[in-house]
Amino acid sequence: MKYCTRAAVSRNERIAESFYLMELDVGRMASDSSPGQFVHLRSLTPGWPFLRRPFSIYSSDGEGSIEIVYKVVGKATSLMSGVTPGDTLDVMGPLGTSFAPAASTTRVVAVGGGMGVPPLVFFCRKYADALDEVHLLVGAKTTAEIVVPIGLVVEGVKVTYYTEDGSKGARGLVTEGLRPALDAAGEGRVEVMACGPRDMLAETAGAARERGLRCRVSVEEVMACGVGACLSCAVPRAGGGYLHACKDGPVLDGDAVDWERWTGE
Amino acid sequence: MSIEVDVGGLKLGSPMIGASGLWGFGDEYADLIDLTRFGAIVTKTITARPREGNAPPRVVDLGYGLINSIGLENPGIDRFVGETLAAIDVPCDIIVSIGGETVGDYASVASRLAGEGGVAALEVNISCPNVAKGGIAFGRDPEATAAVMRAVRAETDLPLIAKLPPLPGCVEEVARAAEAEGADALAVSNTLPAMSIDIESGRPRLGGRTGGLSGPALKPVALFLVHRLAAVVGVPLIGVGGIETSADAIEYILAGATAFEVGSVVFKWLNAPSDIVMGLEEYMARKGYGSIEDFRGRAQL
Repeated sequence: MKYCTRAAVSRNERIAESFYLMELDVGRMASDSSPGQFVHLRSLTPGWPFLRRPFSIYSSDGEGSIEIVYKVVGKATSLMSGVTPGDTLDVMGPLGTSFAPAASTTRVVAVGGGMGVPPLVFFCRKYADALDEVHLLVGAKTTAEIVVPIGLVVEGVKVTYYTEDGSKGARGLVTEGLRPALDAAGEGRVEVMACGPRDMLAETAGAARERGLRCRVSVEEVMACGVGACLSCAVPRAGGGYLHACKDGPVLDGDAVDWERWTGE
Repeated sequence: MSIEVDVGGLKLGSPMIGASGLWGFGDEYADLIDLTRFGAIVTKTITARPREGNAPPRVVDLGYGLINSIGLENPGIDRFVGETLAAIDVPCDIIVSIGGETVGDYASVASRLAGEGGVAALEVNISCPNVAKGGIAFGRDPEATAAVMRAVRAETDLPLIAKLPPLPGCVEEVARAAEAEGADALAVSNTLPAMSIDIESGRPRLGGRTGGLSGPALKPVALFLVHRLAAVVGVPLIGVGGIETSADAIEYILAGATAFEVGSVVFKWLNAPSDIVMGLEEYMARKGYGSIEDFRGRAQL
């Protein structure tokens, strides 16, 4: 079930340089929200652009409250950063597909880059207990851009950090740790989850394919309606044609995407 | 007081129609928008063969409007008739938008739909700015428009709405041609050919390079065309372009439109359509109008 509601903001805090965490009272939407799904929202503030903006759900209390993490990158997110508790936003959700391990999966290697990390933390919170092992690879430009205090919120998940400036964990891109992590995942049915920049997703999907592993990736494309009606958020489909990030995704099979076309465009 | 209208033989319980492109192929908004206040919704444009659509990005947010370049992505008439049409379950009429690269394409799509139940009318899209062949190439040429309308008319008895491009200078002749060849109503208008360029990369922001402008920026242009065409043709007009409030819809009716379509505003506010009809009814009650005809075209006087 999809909802659209005027949601009161109960918290809107800066958690790192230009990164914010917002908590929204969304009512019944919260209990239907799964990791990987998104909300499509707009502010009632004058100056908001034409379209809503999509944000991955970072957490849900299952009762009436969800959290999102966002980075101030333009006009809409700048307006969001000025919202104070008690203000309301117009929120549609939960929308799209989710990260859920296959029934036979026992181990998950999750790869998150930058703003792609929060939905994977939601995944870890929901599914880590039911799996033998979850290894979360976290990539960011610098320590300051590691926005989620992962060790505090997900117990029992192995976390490895990669920063481009080497300020935390290994120096380099998160994808450099991917193949070693897959090799180390060892016995059992391994599955790969990924959320982050397009090149990172392409490489992750490629590494999973080499090993014949199920891989689920969360994609992003400029979006209008959020429900599969307008067909704006087109993602090239393997074999021709397009998928749509809002309805077929955002979480897609890695093999379903034509990465060459998408990263070349 | 009644807001029922007769749009060239298409009898609608409400003058508000959902514009093509916003409603997918039927019920994507099922949980979210109450369609009982709509007279009809128009499907995405259906073509003879499946179309992939244009490369992404397909939409640019300008703030004051929106440019889209979807490129008529659709499953083609065979799959639409076989799978989609029967599954559409909405509490208002269904108008199917049809398109094509050739006159024969339009005719074949119209022919396939002629025998199908559940279709209240056809909207003939001769004004899409986002396809390499067909589309607006028909709608800016009176002779090509006449050829398309004549071919479609020969295939169906359903009410036909010709959707025109917002191109002052040629739209009057195109409108006359459509009317002469059997259009029962004209939808005025489609999006305005438009583009946006990223000055850092130096490249167009849309994968399809150019697109069509919708939203409030289009309203005064389309309103002007409705006003002009009301004096030129006798068939009913449907005002389309940038309607966000009941006041916008009322302006189109005062300019001469019998009905109106709402589109891009749904991206902003899901309850906008309901608010528009409510505001229209309040206006009519306040002014003492018993029907849309009581004030339609008043600005022409």
